[in-house]
Amino acid sequence: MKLWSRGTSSDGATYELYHASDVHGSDRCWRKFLRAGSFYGVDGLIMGGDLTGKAIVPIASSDGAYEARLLGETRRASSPAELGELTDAIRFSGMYPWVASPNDIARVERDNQAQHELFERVMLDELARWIALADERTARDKIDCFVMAGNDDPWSCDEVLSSASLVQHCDERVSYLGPHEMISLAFSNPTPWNSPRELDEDALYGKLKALAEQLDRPQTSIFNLHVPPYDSGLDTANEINPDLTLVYKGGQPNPIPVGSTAVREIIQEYQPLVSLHGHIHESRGEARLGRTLALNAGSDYNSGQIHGVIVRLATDRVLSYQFVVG
Amino acid sequence: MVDSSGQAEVATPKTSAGLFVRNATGLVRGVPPRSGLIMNFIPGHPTQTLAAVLFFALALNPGGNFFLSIALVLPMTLAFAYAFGLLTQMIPRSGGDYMLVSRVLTPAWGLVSSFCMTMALLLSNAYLALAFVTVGLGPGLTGVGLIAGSHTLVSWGATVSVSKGWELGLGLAMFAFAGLVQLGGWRRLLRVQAVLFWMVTGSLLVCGIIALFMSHGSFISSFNSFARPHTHLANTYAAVIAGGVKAGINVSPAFSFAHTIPVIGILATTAVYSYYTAFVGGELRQASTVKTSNMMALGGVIPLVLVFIFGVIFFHTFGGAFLRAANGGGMPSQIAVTNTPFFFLVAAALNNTVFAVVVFLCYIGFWPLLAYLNTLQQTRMLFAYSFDGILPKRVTRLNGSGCPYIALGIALLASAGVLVWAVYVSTFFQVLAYATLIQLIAMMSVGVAAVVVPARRPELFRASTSQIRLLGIPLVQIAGAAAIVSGVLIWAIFLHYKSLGIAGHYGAFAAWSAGTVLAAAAFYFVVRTVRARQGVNLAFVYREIPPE
Repeated sequence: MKLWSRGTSSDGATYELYHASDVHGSDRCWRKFLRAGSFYGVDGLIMGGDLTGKAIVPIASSDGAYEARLLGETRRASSPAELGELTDAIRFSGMYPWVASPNDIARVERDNQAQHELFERVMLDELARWIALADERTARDKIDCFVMAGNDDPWSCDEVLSSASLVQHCDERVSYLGPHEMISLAFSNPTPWNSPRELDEDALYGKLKALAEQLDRPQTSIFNLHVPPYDSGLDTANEINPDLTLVYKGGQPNPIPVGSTAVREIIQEYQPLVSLHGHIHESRGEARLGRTLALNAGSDYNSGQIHGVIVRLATDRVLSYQFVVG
Repeated sequence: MVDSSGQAEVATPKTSAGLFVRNATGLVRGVPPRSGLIMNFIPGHPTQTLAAVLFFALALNPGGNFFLSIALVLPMTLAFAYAFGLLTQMIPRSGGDYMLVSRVLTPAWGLVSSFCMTMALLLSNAYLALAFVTVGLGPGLTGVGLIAGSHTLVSWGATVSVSKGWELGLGLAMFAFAGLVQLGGWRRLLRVQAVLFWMVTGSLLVCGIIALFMSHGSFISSFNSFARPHTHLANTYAAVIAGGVKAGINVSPAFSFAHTIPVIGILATTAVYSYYTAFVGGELRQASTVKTSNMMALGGVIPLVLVFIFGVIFFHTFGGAFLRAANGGGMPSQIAVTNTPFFFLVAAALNNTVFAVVVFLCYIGFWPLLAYLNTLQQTRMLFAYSFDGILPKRVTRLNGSGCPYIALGIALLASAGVLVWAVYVSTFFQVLAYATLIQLIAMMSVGVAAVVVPARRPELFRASTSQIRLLGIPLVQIAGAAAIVSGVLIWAIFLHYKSLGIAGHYGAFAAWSAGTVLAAAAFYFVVRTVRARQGVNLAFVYREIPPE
């Protein structure tokens, strides 16, 4: 039995990339992602989508005292330093802190439109801050950095991503990583959450096909597709009812494949070197679809640890890959 | 929500528990807290403690106070539960002590810890296989045979209890069952776990309730009626006590703290392992919350409370002198049942065959239940090794039900190998002692990790829900320090008291434990070198990226 494969490139050229996905607003994970290039010594960073957070934690401010509920606990702060610690802990967990008076919090709580506007404002402000930081780090580290949104990210994020000067907004286009071409797509197939970027399988296949047709050398390319291929082992999640409650069978949650058949089909058709996925946080792993190595680095963003995978590529094959949690 | 351009707006926000949340795809983990509590409860299940360990310990250590030993073991149980639990909250990933120690201390130490844990659980599996036959199936068949008046069953029970071939064969069958349960994936596994758990627990509850409502005098009378056809004695109950005295057992001893200490050691073989969900931290729902460590603590405390309650009931109804004598060799040979388990005494008092069969079948479910849980630990640890690149990726291959079948196969083969050693080379208590002491190396390593985590991983600690403090000191550090002290105490007890299985085997035990530690260290350095030659830096796996 061959325990581990050892490889060298026939022409000596290698490209090493670090891929992570689904940081969902975790400031800490984002900063670790930006640091991963120099830490792991890779040539390029790829962020596979779902950048924005899912929750805002209101911090009630009253007479210099602050109070918030975080992960089921009441947290209090009574000085700027303690407030800083509290907001850091909120950001660490992938949520957005929002300091406001109890009256403002109560007002927003009652008003869906106000919450919607608050989310847009907070998310975009935070994303703009992230992208500015990424431009700065990319320039310093002289490294490729590719970023795209995911199905959970609102469309307004794209404008912020496209405003970057060095970070490359790679969604729905062909990008270049050394000798490799890469296509990227943020869309997923339909989910029970009715998230912003979903397409039915036929429409998804159409988009993927149009992108893949732009490749000169599909066999040496990279597919950076947010949603994993259907029934690949990278897409197993517990079945959810339309009301977002768990489906129980025999008293237990029911794990099912929830990936995209269109993604599976396009990978099998074009057989890229490697396909990179996210979306299903709990399905970290690898799979082989023909000659293509499909990888899902998974995500555990609210622990403050970023799940990623380092892939070392020769021109015509994958030399090695390594899952890491940083 | 999809508009005419194919684009969608942010889904409508909602308010939830002090949060503003929006609709977004989410992770739903497979193991609910209730199943987690059962997992943590199983290793210290009162059935095992009461039937296989405690009364035997009292017979060996007259004067040892059963209730005091429970009270002294309780803080140890809590120390280990909170050391594992609070660390798992910070690092909610599958792999147990390997994951916790390697991430907080060093990778090599993580390997040493998990090799010790794995060796201990292989030994523990061997012990369970022996216990399944010698204190489960054998006594069960004999007991049911006596109550039903079946000489065949009595004969089978006697044969099974002393035959090494049967011990090996039935032990292997139990491992095969544990493997089959896991091959079906989480859903089947949790269902079988729940069924077996409630069978075992139900049989204990029924026996306890019957004993509670049976007076001491009524038990004596019923027991004598049951025994009379076999012993031809009018008062077999008194004969048992007399037999115990004749066999050298002090059946009514005065309290002795010196004899209470070894009882603590024996109790610790079952009562301090309520951290099994640490091995499935990555599959546990709400793993990052304090519920994780509380479920571990409850999983340790509830069994001890039940041992206490049922102990009181059984002592009261059966009589302390009788229990000591029966477990110390006082039972007349015609009705002797190894270990004199509580279910046999209750069934004998009722003299009802159907009841005996049902309770016996429920009772023996305990050992396969714990064997599956031990094997689950090994598969998760191998899985974590493979993800970290220490073992080949193919070890993580899953079958259609999501079971890592290669890892499972390795774990079962290793268990079978240790079982062969246990059956043909060792003694029952030797296996139990080795398993306990080697496991404590891993448990104390987790204790060290818990003590240093605020200093070594300060940001992870600060952002976690593990920041509870007592007198200003982080609870995780208190639990870690208490876990180390507990481990040292249990080691000292086992090394000091000759009856606990180590006496006469010091050299062999040193070879087992030192060999395990050295093998782990050597394994890590060899793998690291091999992987470096392949362009893979294994150190990356364990390092946290310093954020910008």
